[in-house]
Amino acid sequence: MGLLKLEEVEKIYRQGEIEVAALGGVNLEVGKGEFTSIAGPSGSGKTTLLNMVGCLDKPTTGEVYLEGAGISSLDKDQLALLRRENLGFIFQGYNLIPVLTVYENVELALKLLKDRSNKDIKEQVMKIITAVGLGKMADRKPNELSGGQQQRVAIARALVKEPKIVLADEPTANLDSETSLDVLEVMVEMNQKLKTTFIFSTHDPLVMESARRVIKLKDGEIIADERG
Amino acid sequence: MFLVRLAIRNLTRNKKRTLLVALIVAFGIAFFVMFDSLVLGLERNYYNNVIDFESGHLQLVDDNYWTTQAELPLSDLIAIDDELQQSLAQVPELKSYAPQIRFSANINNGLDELPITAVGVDGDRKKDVFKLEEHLVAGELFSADQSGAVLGENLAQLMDFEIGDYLLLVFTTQEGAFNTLEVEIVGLVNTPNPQINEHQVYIPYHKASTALNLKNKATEVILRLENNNVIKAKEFIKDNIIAGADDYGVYTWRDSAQDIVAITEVHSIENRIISSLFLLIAAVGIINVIILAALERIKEIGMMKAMGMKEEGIIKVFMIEGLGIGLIGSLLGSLMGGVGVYWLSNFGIDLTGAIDSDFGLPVIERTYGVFNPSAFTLIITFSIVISLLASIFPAYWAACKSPIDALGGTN
Amino acid sequence: MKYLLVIAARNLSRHKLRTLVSIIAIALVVAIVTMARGHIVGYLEATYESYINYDTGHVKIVNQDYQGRERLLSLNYPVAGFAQEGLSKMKEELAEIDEAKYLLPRIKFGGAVNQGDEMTNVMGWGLKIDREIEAIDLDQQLKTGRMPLADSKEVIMGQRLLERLDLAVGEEVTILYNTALDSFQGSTFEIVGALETGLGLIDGNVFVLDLAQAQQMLNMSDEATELLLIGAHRNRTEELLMETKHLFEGVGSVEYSITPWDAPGNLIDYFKVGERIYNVIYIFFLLMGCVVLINTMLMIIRDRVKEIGMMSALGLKRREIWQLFLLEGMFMGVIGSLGGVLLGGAVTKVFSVRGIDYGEAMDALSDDLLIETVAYTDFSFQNLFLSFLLGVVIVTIACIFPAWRAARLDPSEALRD
Repeated sequence: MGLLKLEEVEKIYRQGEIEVAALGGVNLEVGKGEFTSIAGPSGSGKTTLLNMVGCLDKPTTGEVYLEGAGISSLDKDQLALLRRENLGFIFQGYNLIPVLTVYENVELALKLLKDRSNKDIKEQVMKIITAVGLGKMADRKPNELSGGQQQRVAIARALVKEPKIVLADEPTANLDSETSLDVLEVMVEMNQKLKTTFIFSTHDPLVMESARRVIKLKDGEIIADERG
Repeated sequence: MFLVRLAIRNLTRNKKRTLLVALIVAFGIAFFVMFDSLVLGLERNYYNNVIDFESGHLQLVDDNYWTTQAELPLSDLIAIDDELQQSLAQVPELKSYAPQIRFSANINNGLDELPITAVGVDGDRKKDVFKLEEHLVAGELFSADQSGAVLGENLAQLMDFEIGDYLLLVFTTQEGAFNTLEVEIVGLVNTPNPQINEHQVYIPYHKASTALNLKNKATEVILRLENNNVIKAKEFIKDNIIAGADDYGVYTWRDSAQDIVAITEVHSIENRIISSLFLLIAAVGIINVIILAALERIKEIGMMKAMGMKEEGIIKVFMIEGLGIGLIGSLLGSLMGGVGVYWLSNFGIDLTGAIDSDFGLPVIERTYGVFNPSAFTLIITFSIVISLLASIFPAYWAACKSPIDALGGTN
Repeated sequence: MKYLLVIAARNLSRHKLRTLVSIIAIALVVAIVTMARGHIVGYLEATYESYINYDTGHVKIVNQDYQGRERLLSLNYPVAGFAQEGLSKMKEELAEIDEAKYLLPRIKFGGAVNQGDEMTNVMGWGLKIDREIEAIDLDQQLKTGRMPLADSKEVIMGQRLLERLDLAVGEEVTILYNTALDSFQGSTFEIVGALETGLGLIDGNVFVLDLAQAQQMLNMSDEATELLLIGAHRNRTEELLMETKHLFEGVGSVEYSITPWDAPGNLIDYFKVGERIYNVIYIFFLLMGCVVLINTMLMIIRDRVKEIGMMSALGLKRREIWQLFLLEGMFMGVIGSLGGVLLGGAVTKVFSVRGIDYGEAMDALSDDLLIETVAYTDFSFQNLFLSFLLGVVIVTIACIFPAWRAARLDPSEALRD
């Protein structure tokens, strides 16, 4: 049984009278520890697919299974709990909370989870911050960091709770190529160290290269699924 | 013109926000005009009470008596002779005049006594000068040659009197001698003037005059005119009557209603304070809206500056937006206030309960509002000025952000 | 929950001007409410106190036939004990009531002062001076002189009455009156003090003498025209009234009417209605201040759509996001209300000492009503606290809507570019 399974997932958005099919019958399976990228031009349905996988949205028809359990019967708060426990997110615009320090931003992800002592939390947060190379910047606010550094914080935040899957939506789109490589390296390293599953959307060839599996989307359908 | 169009478009971007703040302005305006209408209505009621039951339009009184009249003295009186009567008859637009004798007396029912004001007035003339006849609830008014007493229904109830009973008045004459007068009650009145209902007993003029031994003297002469144009009549009396007698003075009903001037003054101040508070909150609301709008549009402002728009232009756009909120508020407020005032002036409200405690105007009848266009003009002008003033500071603040700041602004 | 508090508090500093304007708006309306409440409460308290002290007590016992005819100042319907056994016996029994702290028998009667050819009507109050001092601090209202001694031919007079009569403390005055047997008499008194209560009705008309003296000269031995009961506090009038009525029923007495100070139809009753209307007005004012805050909150939420989406992705439940924004609004409400209470408190403090002089406007009224011409605002912790609480509660209620808008955002929508 795979970690994640999508079965005939279809997503239709309504814009007034017009119905737009963002995804049309996608079937996909992702196993544990995979480092997968979803590629395709803008408008191909990457973000929608990622939203389905990330349990941010439910499919119009079809089903998403996380460790064999379907999500479409869950309500919004149950989905939130699911995300809290199992999923980490990295966004193109970093989306850090500007009023919290690097440490606190990462800490927040753990604070949401119950049953952890403060000591454990502190240890775990410092460990991951050091791992992404920001050990000395724990007390800075996001606006005192460069884009690459901010994205590292976001990665740390996504990884700190040791989620089953980390989802990244165009994580390098706002970064220059050198920083992008840097950030990618961190992700690859983490994937190998922690065996965390990574799924990210991108249209950056550089990112695709580093992925062992590339799923290509076009007009809401999978046109290729290549393993390197 | 472009700036105005831009400002209007901007206001419609966030309709709810614009409307909410405009509503605060509107509440302030509506409150002001309604309160004003009510105060004027009460004032009118009170003035009518004074004219219809106490002072007439004009009073001819001795100046010394005027200042001490609260104590109801029997000195400094007016001599009613033929000459005076002839002159009085010639007063322009005169409806009627009546000499009257007011004196302090105790009313006695054989068991209890109560101090009241007794008024000796000519029966026939009284009908023309005072509006007592309309408010008779039982019996009739005495005529010139009749005897009898007329008093308020409440006072009669308090003393257990009915029509046909005899009431006893106990008083001192001009010389300080005790005297009594027994009069049959012929009429009961219930007027909108509580003073009359609770504290006064009318008896025929000649009876009062004889009992007090005043000969041909009255405490004052009340004149009622065909209309409220007192100036001409007052001038006439000054020239033709007072000129011959230094001590005499002529006073209008307005002079008699001094109390109310002070009370309504307090109410108008109250009204102004409360309305100003409404508008103060509205001003903060407008400042807030403009700051929020500037923050939202910070990139836009930077872009406009980059295109070469002067700071002045940006300030103008924001000020026009502030003005726009004031105008929308004024419009809504005038509508709301207009409906309110219309309702007040057509249906009125019963303030009898509140009168004693809050409003402090001795009037017991339904109060109808008065439509006063100048109140609208005043408050609308004020609101618009406030809107403009409130928008100056945030408009400057918005315009002075540098274009780089503006374009790079985060948060 | 704690991390929500931290984030909400820190969020306040994200755009200080925007936060400040909202806080100022709340502070302004709360200050207005504090001042208005201070003024109204002060005015009402003073009026209630005047009525309780000089007219109604907490509970007033009069003869059935006297009621409705108070104005007559009749001596024909006295309080003369159960079955005419005398006032003292009735007082003994009433003293057994737990709730009754003071029993104040009073005789109010009409009289006149004759000077030359002018008669001035005056109102005489026969009081048990020592009890009145204990119960209502009557001696505090003396402007000059001292209180009359028991069983003496001494009176104190309202200051304005003294002026009207052109008399002074230390002089003698002859007062004419009718006794209960309807015989016309005159007595001469020494004026030993001047009263200044600020109440036109009393200052301009009343003279006070010892009750025993009044009973003797009016042929009313062991009688009074009214008997006032004062309890521990006016809030406990209900209990006092019940016990008193119970006692009267037990004795089988039906000739007396027993009325609480706030009986329906009383002037005080209108004031109470007024109080309720003012409460609605306060809330209305606060809501207008909240408009400013709501506008700001809605914009804050628009600004932070992505952040909300991210938090949702992080696993915050809708309720937690709702709480986060509610907390932020509440903080502004708390800070604003605190500022408003301080500002409003300072102003009410000033006017609680200086007073607001209604001068002539109230003079015209105060001859008939027990209303002071100078209004002192109520500066009390209670008022400040209630205004603060009202501010915070209304702001919190007002923030429910925008916070709900934030919580309702769909994470996938919120995260879209």
